[in-house]
Amino acid sequence: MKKILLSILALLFITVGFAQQGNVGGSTALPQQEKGEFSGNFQTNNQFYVRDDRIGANTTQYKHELSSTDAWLFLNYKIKGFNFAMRYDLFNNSPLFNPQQAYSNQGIGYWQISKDIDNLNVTVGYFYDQFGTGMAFRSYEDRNIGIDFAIEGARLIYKPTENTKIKAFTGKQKFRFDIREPIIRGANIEHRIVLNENLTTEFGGSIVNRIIDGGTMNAIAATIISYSLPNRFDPTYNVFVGNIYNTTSYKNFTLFLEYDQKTPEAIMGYDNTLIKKGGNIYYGSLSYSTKGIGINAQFKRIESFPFRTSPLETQPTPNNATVNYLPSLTRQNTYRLLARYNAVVQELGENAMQLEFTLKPSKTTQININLSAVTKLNGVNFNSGVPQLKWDSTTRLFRELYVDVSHKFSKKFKMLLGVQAIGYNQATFEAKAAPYVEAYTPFGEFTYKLNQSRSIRFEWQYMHNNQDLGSFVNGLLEFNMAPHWSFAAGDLLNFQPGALNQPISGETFEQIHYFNFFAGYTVKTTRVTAGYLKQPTGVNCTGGVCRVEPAFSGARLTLTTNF
Amino acid sequence: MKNLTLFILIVFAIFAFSTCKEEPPYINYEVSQTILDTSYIVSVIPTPQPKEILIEDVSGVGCVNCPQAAQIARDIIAANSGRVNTVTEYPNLTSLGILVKPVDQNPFQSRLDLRSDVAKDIANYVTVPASLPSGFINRKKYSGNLDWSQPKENWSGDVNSELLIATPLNIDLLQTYDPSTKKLSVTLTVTYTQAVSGLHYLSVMLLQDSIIDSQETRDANNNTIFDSVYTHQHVLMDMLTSHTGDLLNVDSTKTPLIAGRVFKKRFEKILDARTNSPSALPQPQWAPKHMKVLAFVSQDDKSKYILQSKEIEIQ
Repeated sequence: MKKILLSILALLFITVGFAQQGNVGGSTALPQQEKGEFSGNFQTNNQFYVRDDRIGANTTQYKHELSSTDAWLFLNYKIKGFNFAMRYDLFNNSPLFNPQQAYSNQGIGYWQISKDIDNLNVTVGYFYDQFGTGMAFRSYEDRNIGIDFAIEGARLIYKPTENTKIKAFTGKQKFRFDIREPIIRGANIEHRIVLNENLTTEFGGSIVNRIIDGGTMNAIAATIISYSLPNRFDPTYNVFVGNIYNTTSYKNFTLFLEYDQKTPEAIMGYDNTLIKKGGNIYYGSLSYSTKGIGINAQFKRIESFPFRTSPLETQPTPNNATVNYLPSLTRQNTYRLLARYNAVVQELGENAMQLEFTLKPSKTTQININLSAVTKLNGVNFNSGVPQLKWDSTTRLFRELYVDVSHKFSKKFKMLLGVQAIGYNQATFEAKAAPYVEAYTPFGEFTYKLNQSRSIRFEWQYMHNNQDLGSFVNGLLEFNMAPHWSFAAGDLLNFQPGALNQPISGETFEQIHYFNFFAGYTVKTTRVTAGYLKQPTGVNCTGGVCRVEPAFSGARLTLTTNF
Repeated sequence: MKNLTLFILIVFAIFAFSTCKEEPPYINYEVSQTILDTSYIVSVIPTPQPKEILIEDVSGVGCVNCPQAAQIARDIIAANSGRVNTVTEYPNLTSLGILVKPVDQNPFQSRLDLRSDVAKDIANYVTVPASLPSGFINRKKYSGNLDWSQPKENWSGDVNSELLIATPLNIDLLQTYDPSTKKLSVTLTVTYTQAVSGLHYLSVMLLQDSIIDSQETRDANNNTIFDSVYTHQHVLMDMLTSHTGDLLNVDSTKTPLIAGRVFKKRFEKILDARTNSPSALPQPQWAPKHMKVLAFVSQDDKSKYILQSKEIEIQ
């Protein structure tokens, strides 16, 4: 059936392609709606591996395959309310899905047919979607860390009024070029009410149901039967996740509240054994924004909320086969050393809180302040009237204090200075015997415009750290020649050891340079980059989704284009 | 438009909340009967055993044609000495109605209830037959079939085909029974003689022969009769593993199924009085001198295919 559908889709693309060629310059030019719209993009990442045992860059690709390629070609065609899409995926010796392995396969990784019928949209094939914040359901792709949780199935989106949207779907989660057997289905409704020009409120609610198939349940039951008698329980085929949420805006204030509830099911507990437990999430944020000031306060409490196609799907990465998305409530840093430590969301339990200030005292100056803290579930006591924070070695997971000040001195020169103080429970986040990390990192960035098209940017960070791999200093010099060229060179220097890379007694610590060189060329919508770099092992996060990755040493060549 | 929205919401609500309560999979809550569970690799690969085929005869005391199926199974065993094993499963399935219920015809009433929950669980796991007799040959799903059941007329041909297939593993069984303590010990060794992939499950059944009780059957003239002293053979009494079998290679990375891989397990069970009858009638009690231990290794839920079986008598 799948092959037939793909054949029809391919035939359609070919037919449409010829039809478009035929129309170019022809005397029978059709209106745009009749002709339709063809678009797409292509991306390829190529890595060439240079083994470096000193930094731990010695996975299989360094020993055997020596290079890898990932590529995606996405095609989309719209006509008369129809939308046809397909994507060709290619992975040659790719470390994307499991950094310890080389994966090779290629084929149609995504196809979709969608049609708008008045207020109704019907989609079959693969689709990406999410309900609300995604904590009840999110189907998404994050190709940079090997995530493609598309649902293959059918989806309806109905908009009875401008302010109301109803969604419903059923299907199975994609797994590389196959699917995972458990069925996922759900429905969501959102309705917006405009009470007056100062006050609007939007309500939402969802219900998601995952049904485990016989084969998966067989493996779960066999696992439970292997436990001692007191630890056995009846697993459930069905689990339901429901949520309600509301966003209310009044003048400059916006309040968001969400509650998620999950029925009891088998989940993988802290000691890597299955337990039966339901879960919940409380999430709230309050923001205020006016000229020159922005304030945002957030709180989230997660209790026992792993939601996967199967509770046994916990490898090779912690976010394997997830049906939902639990957002991190900490700052998403971009500078290399500032982004070294990230608070991976603890689905079994955490309290997370964040306070952000943005101040703009003048047109040329901006101050950003961010405070965040994440504790284990017992880190906040809700039984004592006013919730009390308990921050000690038994509860702490992560905290960050971040301040930056940027000032534009002239049209040509601007500067940013800041400091970050991080606390990071490496033992929990990276599942290894390691002391609690406390790192302090001042940083800065200078940008100087040489002329209309050329500029120089220099960034630096200095991280003082006695734990993990110790202290680092990073410097990067970037030269941009708009609109085509950009070049960069930098060095991340591990100049002082930490708890995990202390030299053997009698030996001295040998400093490690993580050099990186980069060149990029852009022409119209196509960009080609080439780089040679080394990077230390650590947690890599994109879009709030994180995973522990081994060190990298080698060259990277990328090409992206849109058409 | 408002009415349509309301209608959609009501439909969602009905579908979301009106489903019935689900039935969980079988989880064995009895005290563990496995007292040894180990795995290792031997350097000398043993000679592969001849494959032994398992006929699962799904039967009922109110099923008039079931004795014919039992006779077919016995004939196949006799024709292939040492290469075929059989088990008779009396499932406690309400869907099979009077076919499986104890005989209630005066004066041929059943004195025992042969039905068991473990036979019901196996039927739910493999295939719930639409009617009886039915059976599974090595739990093979034949091309064109919607399920795993095979009519008795096909059993002989199916067994002959299966006999031609080699097995990748050997099963060795040892047993001891202590009448003073009523303790049965079963030691089982599974040795792989060639590398295979996938999840493999070990099932160990306790069977009993020579149970005398009523059975609906046919006489020489093909008339329906009741035989109150019919001898029920190979009756599934209980299992030492779960009905799906216990997963052998729980961690497939630590215990890959390579040639020389050995799984060794020992089970113990006290043969106490059986008190779990599905009706007011008693279940047949243990009679060790008529008992057998049947072990087999099968593939995962998608396939369920039995790779090898082995049977020994309790002495």
